[in-house]
Amino acid sequence: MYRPKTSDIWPPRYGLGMWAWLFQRISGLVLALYLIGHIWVISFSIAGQGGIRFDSVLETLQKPYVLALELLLFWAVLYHGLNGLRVILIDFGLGIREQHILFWTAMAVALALLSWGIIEAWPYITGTPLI
Amino acid sequence: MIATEEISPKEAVTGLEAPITGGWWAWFVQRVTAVLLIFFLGAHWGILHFVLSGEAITFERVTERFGSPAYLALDIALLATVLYHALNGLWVIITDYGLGWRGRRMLAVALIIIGIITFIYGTNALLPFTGRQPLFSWG
Repeated sequence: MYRPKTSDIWPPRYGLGMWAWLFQRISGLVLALYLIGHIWVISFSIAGQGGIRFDSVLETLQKPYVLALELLLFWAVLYHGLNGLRVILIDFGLGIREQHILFWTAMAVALALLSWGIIEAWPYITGTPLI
Repeated sequence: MIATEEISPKEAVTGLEAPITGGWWAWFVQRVTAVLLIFFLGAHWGILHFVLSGEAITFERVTERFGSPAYLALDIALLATVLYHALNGLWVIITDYGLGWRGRRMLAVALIIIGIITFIYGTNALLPFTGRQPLFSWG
């Protein structure tokens, strides 16, 4: 019979799976907040004829520092999405014993995609290509 | 408190073997929307990245894209899917920190209402891009 121990939810005693779970939760909250902001900004921007406000709002949103922040958004989505796939596999009874390998595989894919995103975004942020 | 204390790792069931209740459906739809979001968000971002490929996002260009019913359908489907996934996720997180059965039910009702209002709000914001007047807007 398994009884939860304090150490199960005590961060200094967290195993990899618990950290993965905690960051899934944090990234989920960040993305939910972003979603609210995104819907609000687009709703705000549609006022006025011919999209005058939309164009000025979008001009601000495409400034270099906003693009740099969007890389953080990209990272949150990559982490949440790829770790989420691992969670679904485990939910369906697949790869439970390989959960650590699955986690690091997901992170390797996330990091590869983030690197690609940084390379693509770099010229728009700094004005010169990265590679 | 929760049933987990009686479940040994050996007896633990995987998601698909759990008893089918309202909670099972909420869990299952969370997984379905998760997989759908990978495709919908991939398309949402993919179009912005590969079709525009660095061109500035303007009202004119967005209106052009919303001329395609498939693009409009994708955006509305993405809105509905992401709202379910985000609000059900919030329900899971909040109830994890202790909430009675009545509290859970009230929270669910509140989140469903927020979801419906936000869906209407978000769909309304797409109307100007299809040549229609929005039902409401600021200023």
